[in-house]
Amino acid sequence: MNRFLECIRIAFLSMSTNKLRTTLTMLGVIIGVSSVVIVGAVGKVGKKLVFEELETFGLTNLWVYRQWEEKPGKVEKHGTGITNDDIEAIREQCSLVNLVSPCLGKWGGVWAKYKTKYAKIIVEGVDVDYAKIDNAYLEIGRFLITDDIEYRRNICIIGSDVYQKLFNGKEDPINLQIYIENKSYTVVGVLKRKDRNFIENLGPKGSIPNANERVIIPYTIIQHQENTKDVHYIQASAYSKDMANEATEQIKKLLTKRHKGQYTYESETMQEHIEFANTIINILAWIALTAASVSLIVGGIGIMNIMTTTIVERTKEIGLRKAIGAGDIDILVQFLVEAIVISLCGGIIGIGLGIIITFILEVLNKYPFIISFVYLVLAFFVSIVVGVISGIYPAIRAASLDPVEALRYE
Amino acid sequence: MKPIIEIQGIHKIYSLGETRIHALSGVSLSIKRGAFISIMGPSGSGKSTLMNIIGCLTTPNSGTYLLEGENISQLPYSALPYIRNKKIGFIFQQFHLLPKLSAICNVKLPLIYAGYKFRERHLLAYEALASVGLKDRISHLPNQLSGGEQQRVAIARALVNQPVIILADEPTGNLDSNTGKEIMGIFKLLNQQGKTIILVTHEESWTAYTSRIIKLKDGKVVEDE
Ligand SMILES: Nc1ncnc2c1ncn2[C@@H]1O[C@H](COP(=O)(O)OP(=O)(O)O)[C@@H](O)[C@H]1O
Ligand SMILES: [Mg+2]
Repeated sequence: MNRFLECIRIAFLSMSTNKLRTTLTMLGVIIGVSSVVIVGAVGKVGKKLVFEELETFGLTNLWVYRQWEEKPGKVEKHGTGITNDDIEAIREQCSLVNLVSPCLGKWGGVWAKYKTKYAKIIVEGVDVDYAKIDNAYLEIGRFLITDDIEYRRNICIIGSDVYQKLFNGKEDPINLQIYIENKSYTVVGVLKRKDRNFIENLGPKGSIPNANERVIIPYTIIQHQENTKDVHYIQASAYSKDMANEATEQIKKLLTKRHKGQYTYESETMQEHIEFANTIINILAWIALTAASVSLIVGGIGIMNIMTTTIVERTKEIGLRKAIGAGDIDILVQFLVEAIVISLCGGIIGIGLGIIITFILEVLNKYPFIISFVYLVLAFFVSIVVGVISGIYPAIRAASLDPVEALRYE
Repeated sequence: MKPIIEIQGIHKIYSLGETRIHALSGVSLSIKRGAFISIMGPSGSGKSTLMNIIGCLTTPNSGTYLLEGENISQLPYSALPYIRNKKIGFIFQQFHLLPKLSAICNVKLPLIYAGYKFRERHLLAYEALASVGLKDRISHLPNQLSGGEQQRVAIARALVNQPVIILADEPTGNLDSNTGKEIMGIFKLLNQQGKTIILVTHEESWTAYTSRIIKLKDGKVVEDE
């Protein structure tokens, strides 16, 4: 221990006598290590933001719909492959499904009108449980109730963009009439804003481009207009997000059974979206870490170079130390510690720099200030490893010097 | 009394490519405890090589070497640093002080490898420096000291771990004659206190301090009185 502390002291002494050289040597490690810290933090923030964003759409969410692309050679079938009765059956028989709502949508070129103002909208006909499934919170007013569905009341709940466009976001819209396709609907509620920055496409084949452009009405109205008992797709929630994929399978199996294999069904779960987003973030992190490791390798080569130089310069010192009783292992440890100290100093500076840069990046983008502790520890150990790897060869060379030769060295 | 050093038929050969240099060819010596010996001889006669073998810095190609009855030639390579640390005190012509360390830190070096604690190291190093008259120079760097003072620091470093034998290879070679005399005075005192000293020198006048002169030529002992 005593000798080890002495090694550290000697290491600092020799570093401090050549400050510029030492600093330049550390640069590679500093850049590499700070990149590791930044990558870790940005990755963590990214995952958090994606998670939070998807959380606003319900983490247990799942969608089931008919596959419309018919395989060649098959006879074209009519209908969506999902009926109101199917929804009932799902409620009764799918044990992992918590809530389920039939959905019928009007997605293309629908406009809403209030007095002289128009807004491009998406009409979604849904059931009462939809609000809970989709985490649709209300800014004001109320959501659908059972009677609305049963009596096909001409009421609607509007998204915040629709509210902005039709009512300037100021007027109280409750109980006012808006027109969609020449039919009047009474506004009973306004949905809270839901922003989507990271995941572009949600819902069946990404059919819901902007949740704030929605106008929600009872699904029975659309079914009545289209004179059908079919639903376009199912949106449901599992009891937990880990069950989402299995719940989806239950639904698909049930539907297939009920329709005697007539249709093929597709599905999506929020869980898949989260996993996909995390996979992308992880891939990006790996790419960045690869870049960082190039810098660490350069840093390591720099340290190896400076250690080799140092050992040549200090050949006499090595000879003298051996003459007064240092063993090979003492010399090896001394120079290895010196390499590790250089690398670790670079590492610590790099960690500090990384934290500062992360702070600036995150604060500038108004993200929460998050540091990945795992990556801090990783960065710390990486700098030790770089020190060991780059120091071991020069240290072995120093240790194997012949004391007589070393003392005679000019 | 058993001799402290017993050397029998030692050969040391250096191979430089094709040519083989017989640095020592059959040297036998016996040195008593408490002796003060000077080794003389022309340049290249093998004096330093002999000192390095006695100091366990290198091993002979053949022959036996007993130090305090211990057969050094049979020890593994890994045991030699311990012998050098505990039993040998080296003093060189070029002092070989570490330039970035203060006088006292230089003197402490052998104690680090001997495993002493910080306090003991400081105390012992201070005493050693005091014994060569450098009490008030302990925190000077080598380049802040005169040649004679530097060599005295080196002597303190050689003494600090209580070696059984002091090996001084031309210790006054880089010093003027007055400073040389001072250094020789220190050696004389140490010898009177019972230290065994082997001194390599070119200076005829220093032999007056010593009890025995061994003359080497072409790797052989040619005179021993
Ligand atoms: N490391 C070495 N490699 C090759 N030859 C050496 C080496 N060390 C000493 N010699 C040779 O061995 C002989 C004795 O050297 P040395 O013991 O240093 O003589 P001295 O100290 O008496 O001047 C010389 O001829 C010298 O050139
Ligand atoms: Mg010599």
